[in-house]
Amino acid sequence: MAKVTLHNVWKIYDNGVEAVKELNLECPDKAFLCLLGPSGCGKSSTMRMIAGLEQISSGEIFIGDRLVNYIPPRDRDIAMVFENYALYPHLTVYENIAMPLRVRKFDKVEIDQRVGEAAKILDIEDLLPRRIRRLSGGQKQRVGIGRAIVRNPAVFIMDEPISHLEAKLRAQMRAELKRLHNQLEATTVYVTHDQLEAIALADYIAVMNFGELQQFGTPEDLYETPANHFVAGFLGTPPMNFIEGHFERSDGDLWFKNEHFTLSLNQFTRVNLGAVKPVDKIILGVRPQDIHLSKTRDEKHNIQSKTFIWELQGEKNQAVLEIGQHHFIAEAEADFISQPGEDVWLNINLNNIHFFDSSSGKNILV
Amino acid sequence: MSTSAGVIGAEKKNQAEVLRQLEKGRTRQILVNIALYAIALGFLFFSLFPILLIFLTSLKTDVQIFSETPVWIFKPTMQNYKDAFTGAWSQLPFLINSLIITIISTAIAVVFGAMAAYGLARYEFKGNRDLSFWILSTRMAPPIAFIVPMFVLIKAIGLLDTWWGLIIMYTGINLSFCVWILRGFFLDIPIELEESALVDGYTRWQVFTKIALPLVKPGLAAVAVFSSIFAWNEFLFALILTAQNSKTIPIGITGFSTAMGIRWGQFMAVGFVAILPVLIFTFLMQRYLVRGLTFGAVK
Repeated sequence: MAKVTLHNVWKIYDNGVEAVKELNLECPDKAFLCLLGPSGCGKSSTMRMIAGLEQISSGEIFIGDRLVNYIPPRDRDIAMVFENYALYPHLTVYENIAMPLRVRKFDKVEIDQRVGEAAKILDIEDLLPRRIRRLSGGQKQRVGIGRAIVRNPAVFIMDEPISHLEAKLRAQMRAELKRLHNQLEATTVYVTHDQLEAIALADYIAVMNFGELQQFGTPEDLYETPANHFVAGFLGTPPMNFIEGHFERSDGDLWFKNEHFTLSLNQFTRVNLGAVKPVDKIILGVRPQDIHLSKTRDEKHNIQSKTFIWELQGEKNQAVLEIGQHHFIAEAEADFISQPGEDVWLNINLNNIHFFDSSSGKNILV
Repeated sequence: MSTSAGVIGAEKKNQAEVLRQLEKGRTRQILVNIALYAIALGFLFFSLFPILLIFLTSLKTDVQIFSETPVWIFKPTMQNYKDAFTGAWSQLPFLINSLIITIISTAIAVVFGAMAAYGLARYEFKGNRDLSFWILSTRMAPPIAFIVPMFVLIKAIGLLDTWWGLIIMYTGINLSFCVWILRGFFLDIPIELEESALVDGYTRWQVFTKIALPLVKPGLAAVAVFSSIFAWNEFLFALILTAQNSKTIPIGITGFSTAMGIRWGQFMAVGFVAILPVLIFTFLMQRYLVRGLTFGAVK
């Protein structure tokens, strides 16, 4: 087992595209690190550089205390699970899992024993003699994972391993990956674009966008104190609502104001807003869970909106509300039902709101 | 009552109508099948009849060959084969020349073609595309256009009328074909398969020999078959670049067209023997020619 360290890593492709820009990361030993971001954010390039499938343009990558920049993939003591499984089609399940050991000239008895163990962990013992092409997607990925764990590598690298699977199987495999990680305690670098997956699996998440690291932290850190507008919008289902406005102070009172509503911030005590560096335009961020709805206006519910779409979701209802031309998503109690076009009054829970600098996107509260 | 009876009657009539339609469809299907089989049979006859004729003629005496009414039932003789493959005019050395030249040139073309194709498919380097196109362009001029320069060249390096003269020519011509076909096959292999092998512990060379090559077996079989057929049947270069020592079978056969007329019996005997090696080789390769070996690797 080993930690993985990236120090000032750049990836610049021959055509000039800067896929990864000055990336600094450290995945502690035995931790589960998710590289999270939309497609083209540089997460795959980062993963491929760690694996050795891509040259490092500049910077250093360490696995354990060993600089691996010039070490070929086979000597990095890593194992990889691929999005599209990448199993050897001309071999059986057993031979696929045994392959990394055979290449490394393990003796037959040990190969047999290790493949058996891996198959047992993944519950695929009965598939061992079968051919790859006869397996379902879920089974194939189990074999792919089996091939990775059989060698007991220092680091596991997983490239969107379950995104090809259908929703139900994906949820099941997600739980299984978590169990596997708890059982094997292996350092894992996991690439995904699915924030749900990242939150569910990761000890640490590195959110990337446009080749830059946006934020690194535990899932809780990222969810509760997003470093910027992008991270705030990327994590959470449904996503955080944003609306632009500005601060207004008078007689010791503090307001967030825009053309549609005024939000009193006198009750906002989490951070001393008076000490925050003043910026002209501010984006207010509110999670759908932090909005409370009412059909009548009162002291608390004083922001007016119109119902645009109403979705029944069982235990909760989800509403898309119109404030001016902005759309706001809110969660409502199961017994609160509204029709499109109806007026609804909002109360925003100030404990969990965020303010972002409109031009830089930075969270001004942190 | 009467209405319901009417309804039932209508239903019955309907059923009968449906049955008649079904029957009609079935008859049409049968007719279509008969037509298809007739076409297939016609094509089969068209393809196989010349071979049958060669075979039968090779077993006949001259009298039977030249008989005005074709003889279909006769006592076969091996005399033509004896005459063609023994004695001073034996074709056997030419057959051996052909075999050696075909096997060696095909082997070189397939082995080096596979390596070049893999390089072109998997490595990005400056001029990759230009190089690929240049390789293809060697096939663009008609052979007759460069036969004279080639003659001068082969003569200059002293390989006129040797196995190696023809081997070099055939390898050169087949190589570009092998490279282009195999490049496509290599590109079809999901790159993740090879990356996975690299991570699992293979060297680049092992990835090529143990992962990529087994997966392009159908491609290897196809280029081997086509290359060998080309080398086996090639006439123009063999005619110009050989005299006696390395003469191949297509040139040898023309020897039966003599001043005293064509010796049809021996002509056909050699012709029939010349068909066999390529036929056998193709049959041997056939089981690899099935596509879809990579199916199931990903997705």
